[in-house]
Amino acid sequence: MFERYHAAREQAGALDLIPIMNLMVTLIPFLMLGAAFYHVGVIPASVPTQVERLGEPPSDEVITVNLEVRGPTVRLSAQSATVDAETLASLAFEVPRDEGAAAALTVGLARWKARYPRSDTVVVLPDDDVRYAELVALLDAAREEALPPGADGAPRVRPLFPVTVFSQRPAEPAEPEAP
Amino acid sequence: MTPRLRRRRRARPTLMLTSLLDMFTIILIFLIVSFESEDYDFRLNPDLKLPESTARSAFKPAANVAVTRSGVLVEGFLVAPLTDGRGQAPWYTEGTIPPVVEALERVKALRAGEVSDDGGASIVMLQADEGIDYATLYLVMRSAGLAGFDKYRLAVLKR
Repeated sequence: MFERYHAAREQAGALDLIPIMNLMVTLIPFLMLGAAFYHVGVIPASVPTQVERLGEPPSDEVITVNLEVRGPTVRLSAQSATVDAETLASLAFEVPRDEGAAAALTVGLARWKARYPRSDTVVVLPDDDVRYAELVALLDAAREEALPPGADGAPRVRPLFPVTVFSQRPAEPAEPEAP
Repeated sequence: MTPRLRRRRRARPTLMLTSLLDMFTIILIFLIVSFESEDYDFRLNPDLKLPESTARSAFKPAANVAVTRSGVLVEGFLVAPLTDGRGQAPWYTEGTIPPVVEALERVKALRAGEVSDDGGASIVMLQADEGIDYATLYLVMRSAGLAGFDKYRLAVLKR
């Protein structure tokens, strides 16, 4: 008696998923073609260029950081057109070139940034045999300082010296031969 | 035959698509998240391993240069072979790799008419193996500079 009623009810309850499946099957190959399974970032950099200074020197105290990777140490020094030589000399410091170098570098550069907030440039002067990966780790340490997460839990960073200039130290003069 | 038996025979088998649809939905969301809408012709060279970095700078259209342990490639073409990441001795004394300069000059000439004037014409996207030494890397950058590319974007894997 109720056969028709039951059949109609069963038919109404079953959702026809075939069109959705067709859509998925079309979308997935399309998205797979454009998907990036690795996320590539970039570090902007430049090499030194000769420029003529135009106009007055900057009124703010601005320093440029020299990051030297030399033998077993990483040496930080500063140069500036507006800060006196004695102050610049007092800023310089060295950290051992080991696993803790990046953290120590960030701490030191954060102090410099707090003192000279308009400064943003780091000149990198590594030894010839320094590996690219080590260099990138040091640049990361010089670029920004990680801060405690905000109220929303999102990671926060404070920029330190994000402008990178690659350079080479001039060849050191050969030591005179012993007579 | 009783009506009940007749009804059983008539019931058609149906495919359970719900679980398959669940799986497709998850795949779809993952692919939408990792979909790159802007390409900029960047292809990661399979012969090198990029270092990891926290850098978050944006991509820009650029000429592609790859430095692997076996050679320097400009736009995917090997132009200067290296031996275990080191080039020929005269390149280091001269401070330039002539084949790289020539190749990049050709690329610059080709790109001059294509790239809009937003600085993209003088940018090199440099992807180098994490084990490459600084002397070789700097040599490639200097060569690019001699060819008229004065801005560099060092490709890294986002951490």
